[in-house]
Amino acid sequence: MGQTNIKNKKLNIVLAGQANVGKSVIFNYLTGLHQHIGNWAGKTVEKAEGTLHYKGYTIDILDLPGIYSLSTYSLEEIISREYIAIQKPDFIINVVDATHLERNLIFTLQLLELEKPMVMAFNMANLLKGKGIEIDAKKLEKILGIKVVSIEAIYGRGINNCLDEGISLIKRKSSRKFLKYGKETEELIEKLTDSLKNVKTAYPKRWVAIKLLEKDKQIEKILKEKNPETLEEAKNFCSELEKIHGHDSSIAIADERCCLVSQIMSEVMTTKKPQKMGFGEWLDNLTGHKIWGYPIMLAIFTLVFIFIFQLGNHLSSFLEEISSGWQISFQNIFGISFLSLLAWSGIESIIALIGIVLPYIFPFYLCLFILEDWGYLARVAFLTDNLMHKLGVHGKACIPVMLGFGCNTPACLSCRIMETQRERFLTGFLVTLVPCSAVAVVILGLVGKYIGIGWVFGMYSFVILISIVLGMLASKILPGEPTALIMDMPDYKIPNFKTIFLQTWLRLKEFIFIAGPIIIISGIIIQGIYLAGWLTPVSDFLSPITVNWLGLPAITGVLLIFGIMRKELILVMLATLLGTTNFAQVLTPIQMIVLGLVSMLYIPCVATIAALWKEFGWKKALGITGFKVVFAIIIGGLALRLLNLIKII
Amino acid sequence: MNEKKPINLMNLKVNQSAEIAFIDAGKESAKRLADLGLTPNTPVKVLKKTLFFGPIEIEARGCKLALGRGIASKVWVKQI
Repeated sequence: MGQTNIKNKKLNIVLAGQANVGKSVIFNYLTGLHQHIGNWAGKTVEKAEGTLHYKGYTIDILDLPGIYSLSTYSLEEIISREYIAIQKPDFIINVVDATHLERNLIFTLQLLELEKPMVMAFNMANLLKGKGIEIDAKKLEKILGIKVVSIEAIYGRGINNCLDEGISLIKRKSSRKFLKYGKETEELIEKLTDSLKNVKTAYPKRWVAIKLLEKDKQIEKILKEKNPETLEEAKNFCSELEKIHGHDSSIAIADERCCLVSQIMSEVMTTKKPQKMGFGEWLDNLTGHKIWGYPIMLAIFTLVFIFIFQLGNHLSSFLEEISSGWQISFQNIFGISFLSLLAWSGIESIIALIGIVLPYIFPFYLCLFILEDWGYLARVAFLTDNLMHKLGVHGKACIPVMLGFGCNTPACLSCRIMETQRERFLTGFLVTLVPCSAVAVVILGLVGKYIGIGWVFGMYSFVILISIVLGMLASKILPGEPTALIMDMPDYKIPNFKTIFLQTWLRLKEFIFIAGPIIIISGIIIQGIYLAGWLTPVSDFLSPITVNWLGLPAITGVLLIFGIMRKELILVMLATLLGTTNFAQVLTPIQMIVLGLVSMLYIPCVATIAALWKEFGWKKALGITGFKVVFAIIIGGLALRLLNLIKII
Repeated sequence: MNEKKPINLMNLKVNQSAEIAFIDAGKESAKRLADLGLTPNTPVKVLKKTLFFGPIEIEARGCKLALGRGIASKVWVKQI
């Protein structure tokens, strides 16, 4: 019965690997809906955890962020190495893409240096043949000294074998052999490891020695406090290494690692004649083409937007039909009183929330994740890098910005894909300038319907132009240098729908948790103000701005307050308060354009403010909000005067 | 045989191959490139270029990478 103490035991394992190796597919396969995506404590880095019951074990799985190294380049890298060293997972599953083994091994070697039990999940080996590559997995296993398990993640094949191998590692404590670097470097590492004998850290000694030679700031700091003399020694070793190599010692170590990887590759890989160009490659050449890439991108996005708006329209009118009689039924049951009206506005907000999430955000996420999983988004980032660079961010930022056209809130949350805090904030700022689908409803319902579609295009072009100018200014004002685009270009592959649906579901859940409570509470508050009869004082109070400066009817002050909750309420409330849906009777064309412009530019909606708050803190959230309100008022007033002057309509 | 002078990665034509000579970038960027396998003597091939001096796509160590113009122009290569 010796096994009982191992069984029932909780295991703690991590998935580690570079981006685009199928890590999240494995994570989803193992944990399904038993997963939780949150942030690492106090950091805007995503943390994906899940639980799995397997052969009597309760296994907690952590999906580490997709990273390329364990240095200090990004928060993700620091978090990952600290987690592995300090939390001491029972074993690591290192996921590698067999078709890109060489670069993956650079990371594998670094993981091995952390000296934790490890299994390699050798993914996509089935694709090697088509590329004319053969890899001897047995030999690789022997060289690395860890189990190499062939898997096909998208079909779920071999993943359980990985777990079995990992569990068997815990039972027998295996001794690990070290992969040796070049002779001179290895001598320095060994000497330094020896000097570190009496230094207490959570990290393995040899790893600390290597990191010291790489001039790792964090490790240097630890030593500076405890063992300044060892740090001194390390610095001498660094200059020695630099003399031998002729490069900075951090590059020298990376170079040594690459050499080691090249050696391993030459032993395990044989290349045959590459087969003729496949469909994926043909598609890659076309979609990334310096000229044709752009019209294709435009066509794909037009299709996506048409799909989303068509589906959204159908779904939202379907929802409206279902819920249309509910208010009357509610009033029949609870009567009409101050409280019941307040309660109803709460319910109305929930219905409205469903009315945004289901028809618009859901298809938007779905399309986005399909494009991402397929591999197209990387091409978009590649093609738009030039433009985005002018705005102080690189090509990857176009993904949140596009998402912003659907809904600003999830777009703000997706700024996490950017590398640095500066770029996350700049991208977040750009996102809030993008007119979302709710704004589109207002613009189409006012300007599109009563003035003409040409004006709608004009206003959109104008706002996009303004966003570009503001982005350029913001990137000049914000301290710090823009980060260069260094991005992995994944091969095109068939999207995995299980992963896509799971991703979509998890994002929707996140959106509902952030935006839901705020939409409901603010709905009740505004209804309260309305019922208390404070709307007229409010619109009177705002009239110097709305009437005198913007030339709008006083009632629009109230509309703009409702619009803070959800932008489309501007149009809905206009009809309610004026008692007509023929807006031409109450607004002149110029007033429509001014109101439209202000709606496009002023305050982000409450859900977006909440998302900004969560990602960037309350100061920056309020800063963006305040700036946008003032800016929209200025632009609106200027537009009024200009339009009156040129008398174009 | 005389060694050819290193030229800028941006000056390579599409489908041209070369070997990295050195990387003239700050420590952070050079380290980042090294993590992705772009170290001296690594063979690289230019796969795509974009208009108006936008980013380029290269192949190195069996992987495709997009590099912004700024960082790509700090990579110097020797033609083979």
